[in-house]
Amino acid sequence: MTTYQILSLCALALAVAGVYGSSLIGKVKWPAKKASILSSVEAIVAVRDAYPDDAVKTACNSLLAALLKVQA
Amino acid sequence: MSGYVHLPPYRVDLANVPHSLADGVDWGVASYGIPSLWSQSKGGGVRVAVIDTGISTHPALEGVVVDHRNFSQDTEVFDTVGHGTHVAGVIGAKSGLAKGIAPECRILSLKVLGHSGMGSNDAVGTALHHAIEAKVDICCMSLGSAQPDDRVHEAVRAAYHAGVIVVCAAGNDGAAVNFPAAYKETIGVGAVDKNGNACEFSSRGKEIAVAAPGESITSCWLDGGYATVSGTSMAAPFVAGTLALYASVQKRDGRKVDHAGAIKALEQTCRDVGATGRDNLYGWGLIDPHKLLNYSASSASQGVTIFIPGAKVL
Repeated sequence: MTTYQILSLCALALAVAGVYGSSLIGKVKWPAKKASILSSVEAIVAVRDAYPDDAVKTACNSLLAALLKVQA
Repeated sequence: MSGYVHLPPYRVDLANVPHSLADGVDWGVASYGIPSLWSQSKGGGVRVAVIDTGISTHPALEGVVVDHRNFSQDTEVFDTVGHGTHVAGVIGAKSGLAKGIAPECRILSLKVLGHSGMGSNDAVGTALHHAIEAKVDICCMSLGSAQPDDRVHEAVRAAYHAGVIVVCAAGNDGAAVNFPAAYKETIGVGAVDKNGNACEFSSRGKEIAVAAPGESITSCWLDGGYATVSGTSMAAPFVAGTLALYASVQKRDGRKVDHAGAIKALEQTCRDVGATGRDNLYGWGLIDPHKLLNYSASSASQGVTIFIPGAKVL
């Protein structure tokens, strides 16, 4: 799987969840409402588990870490 | 991964960590009068399992954390996130910027969440069974999932029947209580702020048993540092640490310590706030460490205390 495909998958996961890249660092809404962060988590996990490629896994895990650790 | 659990989304502030704290403790430990209880107990003789992201090496936790096990898919046994280290610091940091509640307890680090903050239900179940075999007194789990899982529930029940006190964070989405906190065999913990008001993020429901400080909590972090973090993840170790003091006193006095006894003690000693009796935000109320430590399991059977479920202690 190419890097382009990996990034496309991650972008798709975020788009599906309704969360944009700029919200990952410093702008995630707090409190973390179920409709935002947790649905994003579900979408990213779905992508990660659907593609066993290590690069996909690494990219998704980085996204998950950023989503769960909301910066003040 | 057969079903997953994750850290409740938590807020981290690394830029505004205080340089010093009055009496070397954070606001929750100070305002709930924990230091004045240390003449009675500092948690000696009690073992607490922190089932989380692992625990990083930290000067304040040297000698406190006595074992590190890795049940996650990470290759690294130590914490690379900071969350588990923060939780451990709230429970048992012995020195440094923010001392913990029970600095003489012993902590076992059971890592089930990897660097992504995610882990499997299987890992949680395995870690709980390990904790039972290791004869811990208390398990602290600041993690959760919206979905129940049979394997985790079976392990929680096994811990309950083994007498292990299982304390869990309720969740931070302001909605339904996460699992495993929603299981009746656990103590689900909600978060309150400095004024004792329930935090907006704190999940709510009939499964909440007790509320404790969970906003802007300063504790240990990665690389020997500190962070100020908000979430029910911080409230759960506050309750676990306080129960470590309680368990220490109970054991010293030759009394049995188990989950059912701890539940009963909390019921009878919490400070009722919010709606009268047990409610969806605070459970039985704010944890009251002084009343809890001085609660004698025998007093109820001797007729000194009358407890009416759903009502205040008389």
